[in-house]
Amino acid sequence: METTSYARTLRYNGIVLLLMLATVGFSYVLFIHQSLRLDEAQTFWQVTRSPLGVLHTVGKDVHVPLYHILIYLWQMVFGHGVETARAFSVLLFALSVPLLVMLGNLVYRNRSTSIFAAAIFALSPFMNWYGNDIRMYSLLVAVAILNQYFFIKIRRTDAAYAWWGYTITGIIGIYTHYYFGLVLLAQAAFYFLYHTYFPVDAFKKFIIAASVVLLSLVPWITYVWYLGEVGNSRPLLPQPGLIEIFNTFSHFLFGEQSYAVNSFVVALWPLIMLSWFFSLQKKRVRNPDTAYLLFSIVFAVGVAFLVSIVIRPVYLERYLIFTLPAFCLLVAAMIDSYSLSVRRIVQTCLIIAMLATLGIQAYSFDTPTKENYAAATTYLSIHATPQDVIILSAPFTVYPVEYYYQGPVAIRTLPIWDRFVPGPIPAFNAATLPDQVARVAGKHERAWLLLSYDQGYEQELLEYFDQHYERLESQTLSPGLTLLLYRLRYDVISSTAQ
Amino acid sequence: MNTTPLKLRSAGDSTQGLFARTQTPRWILTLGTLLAIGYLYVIAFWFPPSNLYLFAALMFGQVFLIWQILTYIHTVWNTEKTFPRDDTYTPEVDVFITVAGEPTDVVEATARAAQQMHYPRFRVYLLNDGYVAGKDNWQEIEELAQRLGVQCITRTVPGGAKAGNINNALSLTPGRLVAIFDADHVPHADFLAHTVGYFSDSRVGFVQTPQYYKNKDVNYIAQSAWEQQELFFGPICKGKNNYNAATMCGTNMVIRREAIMQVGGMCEDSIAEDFVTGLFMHEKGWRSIYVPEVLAEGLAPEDYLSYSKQQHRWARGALDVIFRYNLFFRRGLSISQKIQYLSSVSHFLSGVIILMNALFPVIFLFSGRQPFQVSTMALAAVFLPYMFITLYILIRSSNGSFTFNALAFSMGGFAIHITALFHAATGAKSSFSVTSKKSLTGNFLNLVVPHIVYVGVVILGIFVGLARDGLSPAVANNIAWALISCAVFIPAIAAAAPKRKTAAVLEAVPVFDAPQEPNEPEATVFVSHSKMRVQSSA
Repeated sequence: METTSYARTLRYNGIVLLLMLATVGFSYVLFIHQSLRLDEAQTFWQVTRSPLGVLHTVGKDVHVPLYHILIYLWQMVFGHGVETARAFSVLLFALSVPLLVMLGNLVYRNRSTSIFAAAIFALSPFMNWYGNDIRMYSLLVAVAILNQYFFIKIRRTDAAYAWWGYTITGIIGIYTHYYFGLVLLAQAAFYFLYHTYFPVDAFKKFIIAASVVLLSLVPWITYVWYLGEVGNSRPLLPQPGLIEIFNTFSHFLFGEQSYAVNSFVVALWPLIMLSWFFSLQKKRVRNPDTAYLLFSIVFAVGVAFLVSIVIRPVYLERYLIFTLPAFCLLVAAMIDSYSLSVRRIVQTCLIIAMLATLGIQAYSFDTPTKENYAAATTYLSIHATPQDVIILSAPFTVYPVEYYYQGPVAIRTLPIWDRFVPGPIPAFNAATLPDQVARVAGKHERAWLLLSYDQGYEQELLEYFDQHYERLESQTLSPGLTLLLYRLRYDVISSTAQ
Repeated sequence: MNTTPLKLRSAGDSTQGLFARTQTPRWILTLGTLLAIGYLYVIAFWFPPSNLYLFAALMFGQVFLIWQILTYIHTVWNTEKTFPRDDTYTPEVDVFITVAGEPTDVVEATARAAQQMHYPRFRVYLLNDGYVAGKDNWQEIEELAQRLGVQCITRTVPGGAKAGNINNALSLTPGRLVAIFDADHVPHADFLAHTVGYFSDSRVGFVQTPQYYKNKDVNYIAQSAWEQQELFFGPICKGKNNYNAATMCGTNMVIRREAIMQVGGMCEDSIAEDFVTGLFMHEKGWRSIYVPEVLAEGLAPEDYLSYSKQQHRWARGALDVIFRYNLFFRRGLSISQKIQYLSSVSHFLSGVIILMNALFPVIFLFSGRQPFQVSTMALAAVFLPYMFITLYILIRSSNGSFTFNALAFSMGGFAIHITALFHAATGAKSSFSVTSKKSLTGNFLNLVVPHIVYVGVVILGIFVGLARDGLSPAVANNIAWALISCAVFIPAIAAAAPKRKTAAVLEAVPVFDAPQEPNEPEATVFVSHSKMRVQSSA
């Protein structure tokens, strides 16, 4: 009897370990060697200074500093480089797997549910993508899991360690990403709606915990307010439609795919209804923790969506990545409620589909999140000459290009931007465009125009160049990243002609 | 003397907790109503039609489905209405056990349990229709009555099927109240103690209790049949209490003699004699009470043939009400009662809608035609929230007892419902047939030919659609819709397929039996030699 139990535990832990190794394996094979992306390059740029300097640059950005400080320390210990920095994220991603299993066991008291949730989590193309990003996402996910674990522990046990854990993870979370506030707000809303499920004196303790978390954030907010530049780096986000909500959950399971693949995947939405049908099984006991997990997702996604509609666009799927573990648990629990034969079929189909989309996301040229600045700069290193100029638009794409490009060619941006001068990136102005182009063109013979991260004026820029200069080359290196070559002058013999 | 163990409630009673108190929050029901209406509004007025005929058909179907959802919400608005019960009220009760060829051991168990009910004044009668139904064991039933010391009323002249049998007994018995049980529905000892007290209110015409299947765990079909019943005898019947619209189910019930005599006895013109009699009693202003306690245990059909016959009988009976008894203009019923009755009978029209909805994706795959020209995601945006809340209401109101099996058997019964609709519309003759009390073995795939054909057509359609449009979002979307229909039809196919353990394979059986009894106008009575005996409680 004991041996069987021991063997089961061993097998169970073995699967968890295997899933952790899978995240590392996927990273090594599929992701860690991919080109640096804009956000990652920005992280690098922000942490190439003293700790106080890191705080200073992050304070001017739209983020909180914990991840940047941690990656700074990581680089001090393990050295610099894209792979090294990504390894930090992958480590946190891998550690999130057992944390998710722990949360799943707490909520469902069922190993098969938590193991399958962990499998979905470890195979999620979305999680793999951002779990390899030199950004705070995998830290955000890990902290969100822990925080939810302690929140549920509070509901169940009211133990002192749960309150401590909850408060500490609250502070860590809020210093990891501002959107972590949605986790805490969802918990507050859930408590007010379902306070009867909580210990009697929980209200007082929640007030204390919330006060501690908020007070801990005061120094940072004061500092950011003192710097007064956070508004300068607000990214331009499109207003989301309802489709974005479907895309979010489709991406969580099947990754951010090309238009064709994504359209196919989301068009299968009636199967969602079938999945609900299958989950209609005898369930006499309602689990408040399942309700909480569902609520935490609906609340976060709903608030981000409504704010985007009513106030200004803030809906970014990757900022909502902290809802992914709860989503995986709910999907796993739903499938676990199916009859055995249906469950096996659905689990197998889902795993195969996720593996396939993971591969497609990694290898497909059309994956929309790919930013192949490495290929662009390699091409420039080979083909650009000192007589040329590299013009980047949007201006902030200077970070990844500068990271890779070590050649002699001057790099300019349109609109012209000096990032060392305090203030926002200058807005595009069609009236001053000819003058700006003339300034960046100078006496260069040719211009390499690298267009990416369209901020709403890319087409206008392109038309201007096409109307005024001879286009010599054009190539798309990844979706939305185009490299064009223009001849600026005719009074010298072209470098290529030489 | 053979003794059947007395059925008493115990801590381990599997029926405990069934139909437990649960009230879906009204805000959820309101939200469900708004989302359902909103969904209908959007698809009707915002989505541009593509093929007008398909659009019209789709709208017809959707209006029907929304009607079903809204009436369900109306039903479960208050599922916990309670009624006063005076346990000191103990009038004389005649207990009828209707028999028409059921196995003698099954009848014996019911009769013994009836004899052992805890109640001061009641008589047990076996209403033996075996003779007129041409059943071999009719004499055995008489012998059984003699052996048990209960009264046996054996008809020799047929007419009116089960209703005629009951009416005949009514004319021969004196009790102020009448409890009725099918031959396979074994009453608990406390059946009368838990039902008669409600009649202290002189306006109460009948009290109905659930039709529980004690063999529900025997196999997949019995289980699914019970899970369908569980929704009906749970939130639906409990909700009908709120509108004085309890459904009379023909068994496990107690009727006030005065009330039933006022409506001319059990209705003999319909094979849904119980349902129609309940309707007539409501028209006359009698009150009804549904008691959500399992107080008797019956047998579910254990094979797909028996299940189909039972479903067809219920569907045919209900649809007869639509075609023969105009519910809209009947006097004496309140609006809420009319809604409840319409809701009950219209359920059996859903077969047409289910088939129609299943055909839309098939039509697209073969022809590229669809009801409206709209992005698949726009439809998802209005459909999924509405469907989610609807399913949630079903789960919540049924206390988590509504299952995929129940859904699949309901939807998979589309062919039965369409057949019943055709029979009802054309006035085709259909007999009252007793659901088999023994599991039949054999190949019943002839009952699910439409389902098999549908799956085959879908497979073919997928190839046609892919060949024409490639892997487009529209093709993917319609394949997904078709797969849903396949998924809910496959359980019916599996249930009808021959089982591996089958020892003797029956020949293919006609779907619905020919009439079991000659339809002659007059009934005479043959009373067995058993002496009438008044039971007294132990």
